[in-house]
Amino acid sequence: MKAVFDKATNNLIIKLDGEIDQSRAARIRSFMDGEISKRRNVGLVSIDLGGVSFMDSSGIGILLGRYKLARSIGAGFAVSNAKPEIEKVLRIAGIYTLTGQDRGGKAR
Amino acid sequence: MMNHIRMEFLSIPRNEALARSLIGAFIACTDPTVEELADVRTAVSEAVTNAIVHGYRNTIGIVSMECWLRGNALTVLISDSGCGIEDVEQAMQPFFTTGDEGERSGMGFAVMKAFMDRLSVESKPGEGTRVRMKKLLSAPCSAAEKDAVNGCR
Repeated sequence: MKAVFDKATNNLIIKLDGEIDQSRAARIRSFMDGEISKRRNVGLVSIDLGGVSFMDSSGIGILLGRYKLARSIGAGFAVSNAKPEIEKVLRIAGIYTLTGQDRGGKAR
Repeated sequence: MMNHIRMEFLSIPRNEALARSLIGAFIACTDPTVEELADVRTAVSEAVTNAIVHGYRNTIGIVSMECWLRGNALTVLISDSGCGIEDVEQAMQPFFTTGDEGERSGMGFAVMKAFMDRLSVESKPGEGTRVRMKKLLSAPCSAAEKDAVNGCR
């Protein structure tokens, strides 16, 4: 897991990796919450799923929770680079509808 | 050709990954597509997570996983002897969650339903839950093995 904050754009990019399931959920959540809350003026929380090889609905719970957190601090929320298998899970849960992104994670 | 495995494991979170590996190995002989493999692994992960988190509520119990492969027809049965589900129909509604600690998406059954061809859930409060899932894979096992009907020679 890695987080990069771009001060010019106020975009916080959080890169997740490996398999996301219930057994790792608490650790991933606290990492993300720490990264989001330790910065001021976050304009967009962008979750990069490029390194994620597996994700079940536990991941959906994590993303929905961070979406709410981003909203609560007035930031946008986006999800990117999901592999097709993982995108299928995202689509079922309507994540792209929430983030206002097209299928494939592109901004609408 | 037919294959069948049955195993039992403790309801601890790390066994979610174990269950995914097991089902992946079990259907490997069919040379599944990337999508098929992900579908089956995800559905199994959901059912096992439910058994651990909701069935046993993070106490230690036994989760049993039984798999059959008949030709290209896969059946997976995941059962627990945990606290069971009061209202199965309600539990299967997308986004329904008992809302205890942590962030649950309530999408477990919806994912199982979407990723497998058939899903049936039997549950009795206080006795446990049985989740049966079926999926037709694109091909049967590629290596045509001879059935071992002759026993010792």
